[in-house]
Amino acid sequence: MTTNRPFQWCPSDRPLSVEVTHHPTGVLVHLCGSATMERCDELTARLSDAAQGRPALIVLDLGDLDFICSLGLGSIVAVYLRAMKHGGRVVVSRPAPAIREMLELTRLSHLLAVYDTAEAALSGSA
Amino acid sequence: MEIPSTLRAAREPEDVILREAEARGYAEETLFAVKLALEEAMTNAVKHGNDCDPGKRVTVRYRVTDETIEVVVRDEGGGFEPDGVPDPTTPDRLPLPNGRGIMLMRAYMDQVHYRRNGTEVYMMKRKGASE
Repeated sequence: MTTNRPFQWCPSDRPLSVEVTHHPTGVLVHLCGSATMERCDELTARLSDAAQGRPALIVLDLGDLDFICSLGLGSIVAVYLRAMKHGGRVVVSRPAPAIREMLELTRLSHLLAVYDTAEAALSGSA
Repeated sequence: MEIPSTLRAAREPEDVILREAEARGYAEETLFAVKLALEEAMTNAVKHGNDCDPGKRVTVRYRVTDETIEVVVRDEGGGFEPDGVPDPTTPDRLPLPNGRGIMLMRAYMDQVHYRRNGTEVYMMKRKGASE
């Protein structure tokens, strides 16, 4: 599960957008832009919405996420805890190298399996 | 630079410092690190230090040279003991939503020092050899 894409941080700081789509095996949440401090309440709310129907699997697709702060990581942990309560799983796909490094530094990669593609994450294959 | 205790207002010093660093040729990896540390320092000052009190201010001082980026963030809160903040990566604390900010600042900056009873943080990042 390696990613060879170049460093992705974008100084233009795209606003955060969150798109939720429902699939037979789970819910795919596509995050795009920067999860900066003032946008994390919105992120928490959108992730909470995604967990609303108690899906068995929530895939957080981070391929277009340029930046995330600790509040944003907290939003991800919150949806992880919520899913765990009813036996669901939360995994991530396609993190840019800088985001992957943060997941490893904080050891959140121990909680959240990391996949190379959203399709692999939705199918549960390595 | 003095700003009110809101996360929206906290973006202004961040943008100013990063623009200046970008103009001086700092690499994206360094800008990412400084951006992250600034977000964490400003979040701590606004939310935990000043408790989002609109009557309290956050003061930011900075210096960007061709060699280093230095930032000092001060709040008007009661302070805290930075060495008393638990390690967020231990198995018991890993599933908690909060507590990663200081650890990230220390991981991404070359120097992080708390002063004035924890109400002020000094951070420094050196330009890399390849920049």
